[in-house]
Amino acid sequence: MKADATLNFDFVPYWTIPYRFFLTAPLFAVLAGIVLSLLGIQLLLSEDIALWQSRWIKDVIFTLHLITIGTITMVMVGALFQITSVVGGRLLPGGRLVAAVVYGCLASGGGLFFIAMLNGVAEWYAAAACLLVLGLLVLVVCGLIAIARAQRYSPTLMSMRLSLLSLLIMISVGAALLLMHGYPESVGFDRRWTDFHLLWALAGWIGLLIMGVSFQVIPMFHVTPSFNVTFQRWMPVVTFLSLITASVVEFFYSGAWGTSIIMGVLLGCFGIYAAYVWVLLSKRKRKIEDITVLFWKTAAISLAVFSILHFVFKFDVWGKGDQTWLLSGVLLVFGVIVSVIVGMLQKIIPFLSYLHMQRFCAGDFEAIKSLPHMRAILKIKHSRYFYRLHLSSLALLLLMIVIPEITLLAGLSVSIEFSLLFFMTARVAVMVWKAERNCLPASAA
Amino acid sequence: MSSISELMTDDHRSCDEIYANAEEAIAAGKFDSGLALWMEFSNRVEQHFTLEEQTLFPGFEEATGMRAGPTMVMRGEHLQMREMLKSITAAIEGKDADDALGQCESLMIFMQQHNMKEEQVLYPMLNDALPKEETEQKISSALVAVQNVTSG
Repeated sequence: MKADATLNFDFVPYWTIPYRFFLTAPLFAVLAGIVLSLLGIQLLLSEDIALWQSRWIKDVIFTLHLITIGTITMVMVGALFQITSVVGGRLLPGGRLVAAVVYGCLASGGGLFFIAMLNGVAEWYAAAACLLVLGLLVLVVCGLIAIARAQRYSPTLMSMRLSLLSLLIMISVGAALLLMHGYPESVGFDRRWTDFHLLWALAGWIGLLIMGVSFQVIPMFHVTPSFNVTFQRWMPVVTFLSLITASVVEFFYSGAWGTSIIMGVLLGCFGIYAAYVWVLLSKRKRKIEDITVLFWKTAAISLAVFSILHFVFKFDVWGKGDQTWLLSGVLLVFGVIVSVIVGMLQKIIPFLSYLHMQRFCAGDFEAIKSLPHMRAILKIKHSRYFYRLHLSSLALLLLMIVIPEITLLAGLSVSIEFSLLFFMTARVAVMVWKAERNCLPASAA
Repeated sequence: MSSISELMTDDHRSCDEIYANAEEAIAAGKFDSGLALWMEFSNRVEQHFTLEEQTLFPGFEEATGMRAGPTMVMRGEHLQMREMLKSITAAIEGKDADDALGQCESLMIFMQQHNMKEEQVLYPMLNDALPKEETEQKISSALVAVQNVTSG
């Protein structure tokens, strides 16, 4: 059988499935921005508060999770529903019901998590954790089933499979960490599990999913040469193996040199991948402005600076261990991961919308001609403002770690940035909804 | 000699190149040179479609008996792209850069996914189904003829 990685556009989930995730994700980032703003106001009004002094303080952990669960995971799950069907030729089992369960658990779990943050009641955390774990477990099981039933082999699917396995490990450790937080006297608390959880979440679940999806979308959206076939086949596997080694070595061995070498290998995998993406993007034939390319480049530069800071932290070169760790955390989460996902959304949203609107027209050329084009679907001036706001948020978040007094500004910037993303996405969703209503007969809708 | 798949894939890339130049000219507000490049691109795409529809697809359908399979889907997409090409030509003639570039973006995404299906599924099937030397000869002479016409 021939190995191919074709995209199958005949198997696309109903448009509201990915859109519900894409519409909700910015709202969680707006909430995270509001939390930061409130912290910033508290700091300005009171001299007793110390912000951004340690990675272990509650505010850091909570804000980080609002972004990683509420925004990043929300977008990645929406993309997963879409890409599994398109690349594997199989919809996730359970159809709209599973999509509703996963979405319901993630959205309500994220919402409860936010409420728990505000009132600090342990039961709210427990309820939030149960919902989040349930939603993600359903996703892992359905995702793995869909990939196992895929009509063809594809390196993207392999990368997605490894990403889902990483998600499973990440959820298990995350749930164990919550138990340790809730019942330290009976379960005990071991901080090493935190790094283990972080590694599998960021490098495994998110990193491998981005890698796999990019194999398809970079050549298609940016008209670049394709990724080398051998690279596509082996890079996710090598990265996954380095991740296993790095997480195990980090857990059992605390020496700076040993862990640096193995973390260097893992970072090297992502570094090579990022350099390859950069080379491909520089070979794109189209020379006109493309905001998504700017987001990819921002992510690649952030990854390079993160790698340097990671080793500065490891060997304590700067003498400010926790602050270096927090700076590198902002770079990795907001500079690398958030940049990539919101950058991809600038292409995925108009592309999906155009695709669905075309399908509503059912081959009627006159109706297709009257559809809005890509630049009318997502306005380039909105994307341009959004990119500038993203850069401002990134710069302010980094500065905030060094000068906590500007936390309010950083929070406001994040809130404004993601309010704009919500507006952009909602505007397109309304457009698609209207197109569906106008094009399809009522019985087919 | 290159395989059927390589020859046709190279032609996709060569069309992309002309497309990128046309798009750049339109973005810079150079509508006259943009239109000339766009017509060159449209002609090259039309010749590519014709080569597939009149030579390669019938040969494949004859050899495999698959008449309602991938070739039918590709023919349908060709029809759609022909309509899009005409509509973009009208937008360039009307000197509406935003409309032209927006429609170009839609066409490009549509065309890239169409090319991916051909390059990853259909062309390898053509490689297996069609007589190698004879088909490659037909493709080479058709493409050389097109390039002579468009550059001349």
